Amino acid sequence: MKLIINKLSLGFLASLLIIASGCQKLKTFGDTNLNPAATTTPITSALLTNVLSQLGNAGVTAGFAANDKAGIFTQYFSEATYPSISQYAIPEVDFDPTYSGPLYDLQNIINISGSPSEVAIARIVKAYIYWRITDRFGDIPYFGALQGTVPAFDKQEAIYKDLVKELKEAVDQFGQGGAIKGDILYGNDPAKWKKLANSLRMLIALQTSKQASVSAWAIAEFNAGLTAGPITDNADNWKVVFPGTTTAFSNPFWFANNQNRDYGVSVMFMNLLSTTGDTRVSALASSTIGVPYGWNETAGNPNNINVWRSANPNWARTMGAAHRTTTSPIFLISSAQTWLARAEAADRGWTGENMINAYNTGIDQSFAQWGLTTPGGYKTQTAVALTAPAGTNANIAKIAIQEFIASFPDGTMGWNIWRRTGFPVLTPSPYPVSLDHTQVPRRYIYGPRQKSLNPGGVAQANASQGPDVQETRVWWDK
Amino acid sequence: MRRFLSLFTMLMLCGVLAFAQSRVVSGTVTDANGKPIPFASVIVRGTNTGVTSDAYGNFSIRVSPGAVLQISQGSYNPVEVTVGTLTFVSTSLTLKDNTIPEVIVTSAFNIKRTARSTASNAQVIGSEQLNTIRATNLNNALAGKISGIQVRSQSSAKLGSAGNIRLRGESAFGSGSSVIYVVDGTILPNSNDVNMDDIEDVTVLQGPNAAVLFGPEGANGAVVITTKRANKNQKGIGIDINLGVRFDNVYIMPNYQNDYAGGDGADLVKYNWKAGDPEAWKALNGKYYHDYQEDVSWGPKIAGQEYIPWYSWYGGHERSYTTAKLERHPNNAKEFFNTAQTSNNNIAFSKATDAFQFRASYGNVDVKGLIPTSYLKRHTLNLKANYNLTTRLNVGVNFNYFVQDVNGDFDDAYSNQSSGSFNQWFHRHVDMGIVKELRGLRTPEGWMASWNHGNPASFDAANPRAFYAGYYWLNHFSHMDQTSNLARNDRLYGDANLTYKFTSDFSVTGTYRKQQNTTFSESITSSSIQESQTVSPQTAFYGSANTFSNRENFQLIGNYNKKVKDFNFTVLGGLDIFHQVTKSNSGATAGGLNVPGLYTIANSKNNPTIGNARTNERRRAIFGDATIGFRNNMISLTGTIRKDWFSTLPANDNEILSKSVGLAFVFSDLTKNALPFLSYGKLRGSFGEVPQSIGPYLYPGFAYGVGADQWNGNFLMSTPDQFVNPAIHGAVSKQYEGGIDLRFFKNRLGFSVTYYEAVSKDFPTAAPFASTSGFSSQLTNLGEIRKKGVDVQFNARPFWSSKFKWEINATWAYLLKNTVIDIDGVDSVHAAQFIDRVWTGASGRVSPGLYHEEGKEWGAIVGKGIKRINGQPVLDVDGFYEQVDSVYYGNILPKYTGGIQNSFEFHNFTLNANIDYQVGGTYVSLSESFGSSSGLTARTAAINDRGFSVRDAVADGGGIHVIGVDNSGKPVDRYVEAREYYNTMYARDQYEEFIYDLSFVKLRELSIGYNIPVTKIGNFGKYFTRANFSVVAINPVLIWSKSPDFDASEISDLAGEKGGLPGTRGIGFNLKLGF
Repeated sequence: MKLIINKLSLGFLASLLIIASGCQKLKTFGDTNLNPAATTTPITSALLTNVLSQLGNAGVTAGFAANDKAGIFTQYFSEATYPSISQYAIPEVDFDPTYSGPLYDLQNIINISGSPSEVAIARIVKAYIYWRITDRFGDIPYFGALQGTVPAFDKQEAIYKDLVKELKEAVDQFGQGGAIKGDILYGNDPAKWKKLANSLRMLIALQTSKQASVSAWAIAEFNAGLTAGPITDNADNWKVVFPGTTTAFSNPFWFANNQNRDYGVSVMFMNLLSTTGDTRVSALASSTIGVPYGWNETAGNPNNINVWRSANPNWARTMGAAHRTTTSPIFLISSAQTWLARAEAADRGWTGENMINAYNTGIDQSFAQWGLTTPGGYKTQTAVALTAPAGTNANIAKIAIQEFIASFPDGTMGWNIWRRTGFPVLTPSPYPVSLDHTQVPRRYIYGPRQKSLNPGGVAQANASQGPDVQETRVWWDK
Repeated sequence: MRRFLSLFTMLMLCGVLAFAQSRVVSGTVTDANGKPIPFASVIVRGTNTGVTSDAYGNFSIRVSPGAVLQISQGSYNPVEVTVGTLTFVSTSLTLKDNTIPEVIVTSAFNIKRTARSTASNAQVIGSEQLNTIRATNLNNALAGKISGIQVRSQSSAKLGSAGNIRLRGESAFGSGSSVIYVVDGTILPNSNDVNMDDIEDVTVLQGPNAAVLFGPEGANGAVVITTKRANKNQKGIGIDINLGVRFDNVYIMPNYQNDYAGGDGADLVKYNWKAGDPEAWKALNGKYYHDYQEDVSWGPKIAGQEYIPWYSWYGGHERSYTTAKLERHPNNAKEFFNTAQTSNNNIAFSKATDAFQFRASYGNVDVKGLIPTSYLKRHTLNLKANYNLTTRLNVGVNFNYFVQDVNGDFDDAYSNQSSGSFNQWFHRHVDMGIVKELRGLRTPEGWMASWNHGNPASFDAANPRAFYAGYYWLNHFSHMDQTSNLARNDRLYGDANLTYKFTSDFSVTGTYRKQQNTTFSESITSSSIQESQTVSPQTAFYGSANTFSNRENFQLIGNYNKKVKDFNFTVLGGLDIFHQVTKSNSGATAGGLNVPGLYTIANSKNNPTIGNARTNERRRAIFGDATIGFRNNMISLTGTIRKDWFSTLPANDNEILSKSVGLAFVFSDLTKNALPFLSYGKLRGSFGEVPQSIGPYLYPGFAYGVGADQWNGNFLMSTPDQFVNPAIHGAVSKQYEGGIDLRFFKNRLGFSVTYYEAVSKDFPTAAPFASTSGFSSQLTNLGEIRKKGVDVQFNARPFWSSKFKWEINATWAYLLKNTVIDIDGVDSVHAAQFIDRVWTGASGRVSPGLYHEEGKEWGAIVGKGIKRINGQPVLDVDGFYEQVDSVYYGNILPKYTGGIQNSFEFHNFTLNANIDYQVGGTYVSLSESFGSSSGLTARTAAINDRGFSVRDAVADGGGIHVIGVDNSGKPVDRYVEAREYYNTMYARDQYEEFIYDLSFVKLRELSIGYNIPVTKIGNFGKYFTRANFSVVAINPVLIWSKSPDFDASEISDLAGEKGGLPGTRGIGFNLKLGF
């Protein structure tokens, strides 16, 4: 009997052992871990749509053509409540999400797409996004980025040259054909993308105008872009037309004005328009009451923004009502910007173009972009008309101000114009948060994620371009 | 599965055939009260044949005719029983004088074992010590009673929120790791879903060496709950009724200032009626008002002066167009909250015979919450049945059903609609009684009246809404009336088990466990709310979600017990097959509603947002556990080995082997004569590992989802942001511990000391990664967290007679270190991992954050602060602190935790008091920061060292005294205006003043009970077997705290509070009846 018991016990243990060692069933799970809600095969057109849908977003970190912070620095906007950016507080802003988000989606298309034209579009958009990041921060990871490893930071000069090279090669790549799908901005039309790439090439080259060391390169690239054919008409503007079906797919100024109403059109920008009787005010602002810039909330201060706001309930919201509906477009690169850049290049003597013609066309295109006609006498008034001959660098102030107005509400573009030309003249906030930071910022400081996850890279960038403060100038601004 | 079942059946049949003709006697061993005595020794006199009773006191033994059984257990007087013709031997043992019953420790799979043979510090508390006040929350009931535990409670205003517990610090990244709750062997994710009245006892197993058999879920310890079971010798017909009511009130709130009214301007403003203003307002012409629009309290000094209150401007009520006196309302925030009423009732039926035990219990908790309109309704049903079909075959069922409905706005984040207003943005002088009286008051247009509306000077007849509607805030009561957040939770869990005893030594148990949960939630924000708010209006909203999850385990465990001379062997081995699926669907409106007041997803203005998720996960494990005991477990050596296979790991490397070993030595068995004062002495040491894996679908990564929203027919897809290391593999977390348990003077005094060290290393985890790589996180094996500490338990019985008993239980735990050694796997880089912060502003401004930083203790609070030179604060030319980056404010883990319980028994009276405490740890208070910049907190109207209010002008002797140095290090000593001081601090993200210590000592539970002597009162004894009445108090006294404004034991978030709901205290009455 005992024998039987022992045998049984042994049998039980043995069967467990058999199950344990021999039975493949224990360790084999088939497709249990296969996620039914996802595919491991990306669809490149959907990646492209995803990136393009984000280009009109606002936000301190993710905004491209509607970046709040740059727009506040450059005094397109004033903070009507909770002032902070306009008092040069040091917020923590990361460029990280842009890399793992849209930039990697584009890199993914470049890595796997079978369509040369689709790759060309990805390269153009990637160049545009990188341009936006480097202009805000200066040196950033570029050549080693998006490869799965922690990259080094690269010098802005090298990045600039590569952006232009990318744009040039992208234009050539369209020649290899291939289908384009998911292009929600240009409707899969390669001709328009080529014009955009050429315009971007000119604008990027022009941005380096302070740097004498690259002027030969910049002039050559500007002219090459011009020869290849930039955007010349509003019909070819690069813009995001929102479907308005969700908040994310709606114009960000519509959202901002319906939610927080934290920002309004600054009094400085309003003055630029009112002194010349500029009718674009009707499109760009909800009223003509510009919001004071950089005021604080301190009681007893006559310049208390809350008191002012209460007394001026009709203060100017960003964009007129007709241009901040859910479906209003956000302009990324426009014909007006391109024409005015051509005027600036002519004034700088970079081209032999007709400066006055480019300037006036740029102004007309800008009015037309907002559905307006340039008022009679606008272009000929002293504050607007160019009087000095082309090639003398003497018309920069007026050209810059027209560029500045034409770029509204693209804060980064406005900030670029001011940093490049010094116009319009900006008066810093009278109430800076810290005595260490009293001037109009000239870059963003690196964000906390970079500092904690790539401290070596940040140290290398600081050693190269200067201390990590808002006052340090990026390479082309030095 | 089918294969195992058939194997099981076959073995069973073989057993029946093999032993059909043998003489087996079964029996139970119980104490004088009929409670089972587990692990009693049953020996046939004059032989070496013996068995041990099981966890429920049951045994069976093969005997020859005329045998006598010797039955004994350490703490009890042994007895002898002659078997004779009996087939069932029912034995009752009496406790030896001056001993205490052997503590029984419960572990995985409901395995029970004596504390004597347990090699780790497994603490057990019985229902009486646990449920002294009939708490409705298990976590809170454990506070102070278990050493090494930190209970992170939540405000009782937050109905249904169980809080959570931390055992021996933290050993994972992110927001830490959670403990599992195990009810009769079935794992639950939270402590909420078990009825406290059904709990018999709780064993807390801390860390891997104690919890190894639980597998991956036990890595951070386990709270093992055993529910009540019917006892055979129970008196009466077996019905127990437990009735309770409790009333809770707000206890701890921030200290507010009550000297200055709401608004922005320090002076009242004269109202001059103007053309276009409503005619009725003429009655107010020439009277004075304060700024209604700014939701701050930097307004006029309160001095009983006449003014126009917020409600006067609205018509249609008896206070319309009248003035009032500007007076203090110090308790206005408190008055918002209701007195919560909880009723907590339970009825249980139980019956047991030799062959059958049955218990059914129904519990009902009904709470009307502190927050207006909030409620909780909970029903629990527990069935426990066990039937010995034959002496060999036993079938058991544990069935638990739990259903709970919770409704209310329990948001305690920044700017929430209750405490988020009172503590951050409010008018201090507002009379809450009138706010309540006028809840629901609307203008003819339908806008709900608010204390925070526009100012009459800018009234525009063309846009009256800008005046009448709430500027930022609604009437708080109206908000609650116009929103609902219903959450229903429906959980079914338990097991069915079948045990077959092949011999008296060897049995096999097959168990099927299930834990199924369905939830339904529904949220509404009414259309009137959207219409009644002018700035940042809450959008009208309807959303609903369903989730379903089902966990199943099939467990087959063989159990072999053998006593050979001085040795007893306990061996178990088995198989655990786990399968879990989850499914969820959700839908919500976006951008508002097309038809106001119609709450359905289809009524969404924009494309509704939809959610749809499902997971599937399997795991299989084999394990073996062996204990060899020598001389009645004087020495016990235990070893466990477990191998797990995971569906979630790469197929070619999906197994993890984990093991533990422990030794316990009861040396007092040897020193009985030499050291008579030493009643019990045990040394123990153990080492254990627990497997760590990853969740479903994470590997191999690069899974592309599709967005539900299309852009004009183009669908969107984005690249996943997580990089998954193809070589990812499982790991084990390890813990070592050693300790000593001592009891003296006939068990009148005792203590236990345990030292532990734990390391989690190279565990599979998602770590943040520089996104410039293209990926914001990587899932790989990295990191190292080490901890060590000491746990102490103390027990004393200063008086112990039949008339008066006084017992003290105390716990103390010291977390020596809990250090993050490595985060990113790169030695040369000092890495940090951001976890959370209490506030992130739209413009990138932030409160200090919670980080894990290499070389620092787990959970460091780091953020902007005050610049210092040689320790002196640096002041700018205006006298305000200069800002500096990255100040380290400490870490969030308390250094010491513990408690002390005193219980007295005098005649029929009992008194229990539980004090718990913690020392150390840090939290950030967002309310204090915002509340100070808004002029709400007491400090904004304090008296300065010159004897004037800080709000008075500096020139008049007021202002805040600041001392420091200027940028060049020269001393500065001056006064600055209070409002500018706090506004600047707020604008510069300086939180020094608003970071607090988590230390506290509180009397958490107090209960006074009276055992009504029913048997002596008239005819009562006919019906009642027992009756007890008790008065209980929860949180009666906060004895000491370093944080005066919030209850430090109830901080809502890891990093701190962001709009914390108030601390509460309650009093309750319970009546317990037995029939």
